[in-house]
Order: sequence, then C-alpha cells, then structure tokens
Amino acid sequence: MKKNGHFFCLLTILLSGVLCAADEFPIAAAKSRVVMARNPKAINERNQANQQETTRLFDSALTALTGEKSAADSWRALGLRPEDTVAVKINCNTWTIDLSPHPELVNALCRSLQAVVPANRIIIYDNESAAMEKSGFAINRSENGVRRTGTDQGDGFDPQERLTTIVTRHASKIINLASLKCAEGDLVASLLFKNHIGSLIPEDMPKCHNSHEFLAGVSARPSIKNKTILNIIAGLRGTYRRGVPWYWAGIILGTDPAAAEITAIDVMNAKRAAEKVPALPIPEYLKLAEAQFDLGTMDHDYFELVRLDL
Amino acid sequence: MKRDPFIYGIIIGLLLLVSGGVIRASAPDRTMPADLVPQGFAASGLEERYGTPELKLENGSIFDYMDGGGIVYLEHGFSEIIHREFTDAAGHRISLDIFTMDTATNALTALSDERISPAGGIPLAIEVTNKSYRFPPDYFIYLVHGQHLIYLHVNDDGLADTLNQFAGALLNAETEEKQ
Repeated sequence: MKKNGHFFCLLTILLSGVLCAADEFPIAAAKSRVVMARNPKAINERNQANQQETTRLFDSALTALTGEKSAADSWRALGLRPEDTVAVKINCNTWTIDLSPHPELVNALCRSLQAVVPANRIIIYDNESAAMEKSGFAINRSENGVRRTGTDQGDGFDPQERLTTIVTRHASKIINLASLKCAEGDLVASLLFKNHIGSLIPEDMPKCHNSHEFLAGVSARPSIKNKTILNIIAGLRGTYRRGVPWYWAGIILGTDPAAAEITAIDVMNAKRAAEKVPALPIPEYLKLAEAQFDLGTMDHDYFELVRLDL
Repeated sequence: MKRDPFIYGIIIGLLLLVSGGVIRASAPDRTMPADLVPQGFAASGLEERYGTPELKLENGSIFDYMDGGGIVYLEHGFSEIIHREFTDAAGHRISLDIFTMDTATNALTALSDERISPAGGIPLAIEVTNKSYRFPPDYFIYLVHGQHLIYLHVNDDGLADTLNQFAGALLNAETEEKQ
C-alpha cells in the first residue's frame, strides 16, 4: 500500500497530541488542593481563641478543601465512613511558649467529625499525657465522649511498625494535626512529619533527630501512610523564628502532607521576609519525603493553593 | 564535673537539703527554700533532670524534655538540665530551667545564639548577662552565670516584675551563699 506523507504527518501530530494529553491528564487529575485559611477574629493578642470564630475558620477551610457544601459530605469525600475510628495526632510540646493546638480548634474538628462518626470513635492523642493535660486536653479513656489519651497510657506499640497501637490497631483513619512551629537548626521546622515522632515507640524517637531519612520514613509506614485522610497545621499562634511567636490566625489543610508542609514553610518565610530574617531552607526530610517515600509533592506547580480570608 | 557555687545557690534545696546533704541519683522530692519562691507560688510537681542522649539522667535526655530543639543546646556543650515549676492559685505557672554547659564560654555563646535566645531581647538591670522577652501572654528571661544558662518563664506577662524579682532573688541567694 502506498503510504501518503501527509497522512503520516497528520497521524504523528494526532498521536503526539494524544500522548501529550495522556501524559498531562494524570497530573492534572491528581493535583491536590491545599487550603490556607485565616480568620483574625479567631484569636486575640493574649493567645485566647474564640470558639465560634475558630469553628467558622475550620468549617470554611474544610469545605474549601473538598469543594463540598457540608461537613458530612466533606468527610465522606475524604474517605471517612460511619464505622471508622479516627485518631488525631496533636503536638503538645509546651516547652517555653505554648504552641499546642488550641482546644477550640480541636473542638471544632471533633464537632465536624461527628457529622459522620460518633464522639467516642474519635481519639485525640499525643505521646505524653501530662503535656496533653497541661495544654488543656484532659485525659478521657472512658466510653463517653471524645477520647483523649497519651501513648504513655499503656496501649502498647506494634512490634513491626514500631508505632503506637492507637495508629496501627485502634484507628482506621488518621488526622495529622501539627502546629506551625519553626525549629531552625538542622530540622528547620516542626510540622507534620515531625509530629509523628510522638507516634513512635519511645526508644526510637531520638533517631529522628539524627536522621532525616528516618524522620521522613515514619510517615511512610503503612498504618500512617494508608490511613491518613487529612493533614492540618494549626497556626492561630505560630513561630516564624525559634521561640518567636506571632498570631497568624490561620490553619492549613491538605491531603498531601508534603504540599501542606511546604505551604507552612512558605507562611513562615513570608513573615521572615517581612521581619528581614533570612528564609528557611527546604528541610532535607521534606526532600526525602517527596523523592524517596512518595509522600506527596512540594512542587507548587503540582498542587492548587486556595487562600481563604474570613 | 566541676560546678561553681552559683548552681548550689540556686538549687540549694533542690538538690541537697531534703536529701540530707547526700546527692542521690533519683531523689523523689526536693524543695526550693520558701523565701526564694515568689509570693503566692508553690512548687508544682517534682524536679526533673535530663542529660545528653549518651548520658541520660533520671528523666531521660534533653530530647525528652524539649524535643528536637535540644540539638542546639548540644552544640554548645550541654551536659544537663534541671527543670522545676511553680504555680499559684490563679493557674499562673513559672518555669525554671538550669542548663549546665561544659564551659562558661559556651554558656555565653549559647545565650548569644538566636536559635536559643531570639533577637530583640532586652537586658535587665541585673549583675549578670541576660536577655528578657515579652511575647504576650508570655514573658521570659535568659541569664548566664558561670557555666549555667538559666531560663525563667511565666505564662502571664502581667507577672513580669514577679519574674524579674525571682531572678534577682536567685542571684542574691548566690551572693549569700558565697558570703
């Protein structure tokens, strides 16, 4: 059969178009969303949160993230089912200035979750019960209400994953609720990835301070990677330099931990630029989380940032 | 490890008195002399001691106390920290941390490291090198004496004067101890 040059040219163009589209479509379809929401009325200059305004902040951010109209639809879109048990990892390290998440924000989250799951299937946890109590989260291991517990309360640790059994056995879904905290030094920041140090068996915790690879790898362990449905960075009050707080009055929400983490570093760097402080570098653990552990992207071209100012 | 007299002045009761003059590795309870503690405040909880990752003390290493931020202190020759808290009936909390570094020079360089004591600290009119910070509602002071970096914090900056006086009382205790 005689081959026509024009036909092959046309075919080549068409095939190239199809291949290009096939190459680009999955990226566009997989593009996750990060919501950066602020509400100055949610916090005052004495670190006192307003419950109503904090709830409004959280609810608005959640629906902006999912594009749904209600909390129930939003949680369902994130994969939450009525039979689930949700563990929420908070960071109650209160050394020097208190940067624990405000109880008002955790209340807003729990209230929202109850659109799908009952209160008693929500577990708020950190590693130290005493630190939780000091941050306003009274331990509650009863059958009534939202459960609040420390990994030091005897639930044990999974021998394979070396994580608290709250994560490996009790919870079917996980929410990582970190604080907007600048660490500087080697680790740069204490955000989502560092938050899960508190999910580790205690003897492994110091390993995170010596190895970025170990730290990034914690979030890649099956129970954390497969069960996490939402990442939140609480920044009603945060730090942009180590030990220097400011009332950012916002929260960051995302399903992609690397994208949410780099957004938080961007927030700190914007404040640092305003204060004429050199920018924070991208932490090594975050580069490894993206490149080695497939824990999301920090490339701004590959996630959609939604800004919400209430 | 060599200690200068100041550490004994500050923690005179914390370490020695209750234990009858014998330093114990894990004394269950120690008290600070009442006249040093700000009026209306009382010791809350037990004293805590943390060492290095290689040489942990009763409560573990510095990472057990302050998480990853401890790395910065290790860079300045940190060897141990003693932590104590005092509370009042209104829920105010004062924290006292005494960091021991390997040399007096390292204690001073730790104070000048902005990862430990941020820029913008205002020196108080007391006889030792210090910086104070007001970040409402927090107020805190770093001061250096010998090989010790001392941190005082109160969770209500309305009590800044109380904390300043506490710092002064600790320094006076050192002077009396010397005499």
